[in-house]
Amino acid sequence: MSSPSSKTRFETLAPSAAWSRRSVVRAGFSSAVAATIAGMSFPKVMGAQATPEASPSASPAASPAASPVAASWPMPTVGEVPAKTLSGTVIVVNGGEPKSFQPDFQVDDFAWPIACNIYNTLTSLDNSYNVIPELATGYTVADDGLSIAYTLNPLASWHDGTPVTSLDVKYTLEKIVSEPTATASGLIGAVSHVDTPEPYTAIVHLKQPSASVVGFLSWYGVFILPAHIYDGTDWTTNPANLKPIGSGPFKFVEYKAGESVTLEANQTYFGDGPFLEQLKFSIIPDDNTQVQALLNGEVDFLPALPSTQVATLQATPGYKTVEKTYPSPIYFGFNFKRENLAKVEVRKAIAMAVNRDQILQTALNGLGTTSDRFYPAVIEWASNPDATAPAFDVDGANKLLDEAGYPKNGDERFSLKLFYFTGWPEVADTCTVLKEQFAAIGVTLELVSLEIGAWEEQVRAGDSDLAILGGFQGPDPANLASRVGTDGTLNLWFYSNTEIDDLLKQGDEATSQEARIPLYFKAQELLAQDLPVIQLVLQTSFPSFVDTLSGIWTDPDDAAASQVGMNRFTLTKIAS
Amino acid sequence: MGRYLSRQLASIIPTILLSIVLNFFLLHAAPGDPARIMAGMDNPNPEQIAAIRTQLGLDKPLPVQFFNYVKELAKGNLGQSLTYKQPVLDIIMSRLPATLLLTVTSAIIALVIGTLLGAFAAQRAGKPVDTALAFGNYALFAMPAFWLGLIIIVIFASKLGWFPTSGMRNLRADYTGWRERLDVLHHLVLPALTLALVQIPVYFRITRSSVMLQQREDYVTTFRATGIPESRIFRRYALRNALLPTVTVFGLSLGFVFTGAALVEIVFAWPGIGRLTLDAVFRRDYPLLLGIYLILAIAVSIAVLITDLVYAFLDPRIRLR
Repeated sequence: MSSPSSKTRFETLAPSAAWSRRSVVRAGFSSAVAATIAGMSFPKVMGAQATPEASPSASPAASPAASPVAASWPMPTVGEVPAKTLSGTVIVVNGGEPKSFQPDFQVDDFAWPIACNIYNTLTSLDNSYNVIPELATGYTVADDGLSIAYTLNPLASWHDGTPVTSLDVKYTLEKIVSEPTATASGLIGAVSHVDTPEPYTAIVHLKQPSASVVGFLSWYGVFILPAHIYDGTDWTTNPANLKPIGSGPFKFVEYKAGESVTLEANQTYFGDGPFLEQLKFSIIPDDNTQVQALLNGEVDFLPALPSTQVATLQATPGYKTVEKTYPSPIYFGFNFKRENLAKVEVRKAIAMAVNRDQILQTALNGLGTTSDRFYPAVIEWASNPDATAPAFDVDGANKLLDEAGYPKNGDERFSLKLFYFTGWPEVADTCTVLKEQFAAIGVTLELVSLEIGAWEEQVRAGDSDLAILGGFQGPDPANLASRVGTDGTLNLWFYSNTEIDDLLKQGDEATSQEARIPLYFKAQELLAQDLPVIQLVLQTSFPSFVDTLSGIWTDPDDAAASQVGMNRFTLTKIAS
Repeated sequence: MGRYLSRQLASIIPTILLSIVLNFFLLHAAPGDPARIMAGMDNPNPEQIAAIRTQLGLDKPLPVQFFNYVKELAKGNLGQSLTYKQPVLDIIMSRLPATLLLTVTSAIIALVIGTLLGAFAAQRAGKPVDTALAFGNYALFAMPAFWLGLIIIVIFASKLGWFPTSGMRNLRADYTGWRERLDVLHHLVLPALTLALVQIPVYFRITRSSVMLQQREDYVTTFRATGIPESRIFRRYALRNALLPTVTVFGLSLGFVFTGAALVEIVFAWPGIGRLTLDAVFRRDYPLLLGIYLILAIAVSIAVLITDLVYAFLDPRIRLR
């Protein structure tokens, strides 16, 4: 892969003018320690990865002969890839089939868990949503907040043997922001370009300060792709999309269409692990079948056990079930185009009719937590505990509605249509409970159930009065802008408060967590006054696995939970 | 026979053309926007959605999209899937063997068992064994395939451990050669059984009523009067005549073997086209759906044609008319 043409490509990617900027960048480096984004810079370099000063011996993977970069840059001296001891195969359930193995060009939730093991992101999110090192051993944010310098692990190499360098970072991030169709094009839209002063230093320049970029660069659609394979090609149809070359702990072996994906250990992986010979993904769409397959020993890991099966599996010896709460509350919003719902007293009265405990116990079998905040408490630092929806109070709600000019006519004041989408039984049950609860304040709820595509179209057209949904609100509170910001794409409510818009914008541009917190807290306070959306519950998810496995990323009792990113089986071992 | 064949063939072409037009416009008339769906629910943005729409050609007026589709189709190009970014034909072909293995096997099992049971019950009409069979038949008929599938998994895979739960291959074994084929057959048993069980009632009922009808025909009475043994009348005459409707049903069911097994494929994680179709529906992957529907239309037409031919072969009155 490292043919002479790589050199040419390399030169087009990184014109020589870039080198003169090195000194500027260095200055940024030395002074940047103080300026960390969201308190997320790393206290130390992780694991056995070597810093450039550490070891004199060169990694075989990063040998100068294999590297086009080496011709132009002095190679840093690097350590050695940690020794691997491999045993066994772990089979993971995947709920659907991947559409492609190129993980950046489109949203594909069934490719994601697989991509997490084939590719690397610069940084990743651990089980508690902290940013942790992955391909980058560390990062520093410039004082002005306009650039972030990532130090890459010099031991990292692509599965074809080519070293991973800053050019790969440059290609990937610049490609993502230049392709509006890319999954993360909006999330990391603040990125303007990437400088590559050294093979293992990538400086990500921003158009304006954006604290959320670090979090979004650790999440979805931002896997670093091999520039030597993708640059100059159509990244949606490159043959490597079906036979991916990554830098992650596992190498792609085979995909049997609709059936299974087989990966094998990457023996030259730069970090600790992998410890498994093979990692396989078994595609099983039906969740009851998934459980049976786990119980019958055909699979080892189930990312989410159906809530109806939790008690059964917990009572079965040989399995471990852990709890995982995503910052994905189930919530509903009001259509501000409706005359009655545009009045804050009416929204408040409806919010007061909600009994979250009852929803949790009946619709979720008690498997979750109630949530009355405006940003999920799972992301603790950004969630304002004092900005809450009004407490459950039927009498108070009735009084409010009487005063607002909606007297009871018989048992009914008015009726509302609540739109929900099919395929999520807990949400359907939540709607049924809400219908009962709203009846107590004289609001008749008409439940409208639609397939999700149709649901979205009709809700956007303003056909609903209320609509209920979920969705991941992490990894950063910048996510709020898309849900309640005036132009937010998931603002399905026709809601607009420019003060909130301003606060969210300032919150993203502030460079320290200390500076961001009051801005987001204030925005949540305003949301608690306006009540455009009402959170109900956070559903607990139950990843389950055979108890001979250790090093599981989502097991809070396991050290791996703070050492590897979501979905990574890098540290997973099988006890003999 | 030659004229009969060409007349039947000629009727297929307008049918398929009509189905192309209907499929295209019905699909696009259904609510839901592939661009929005592709942008996801976690963090979409308007530029992204607009760009996806342009990239997929969905921003063009519908008649233009239709014209482009037909133009490519005329060249034998079914287009490229919106989500897989691969040729539609390749995707369909990669799932076809699994689906055909499952649906053809189960159709044949259902045909044989349903017909035998139906004939058996007809000869004992009104007796306890007939009532029992009819009851079992109704029970099976009322069972949703996905529910029956799960029950079968719990009994035969979980409790008895005779067969694997789901999938098509043992992922722990990595078999090759004839051992792999045996492994696939081992995995085939439960889904094929499920799919056969839900189809048996159709053959059972048709055969039973058709045999009973034949047994009341004048020619049977005549045979009986001439002293031919009842078993001979049944085997040589009544049963043969009674099988004609069964041929029709079997032929039509073969038309649906491509897509008819979606629910069973989902429950058993069988990597077939039914599952692919449902997935494409949820994603509004128009080219993939149109490709699947076109192949379905062609398959149904051909199945009907073959049924007609077999019918004509079996019954001279038809081909001579």
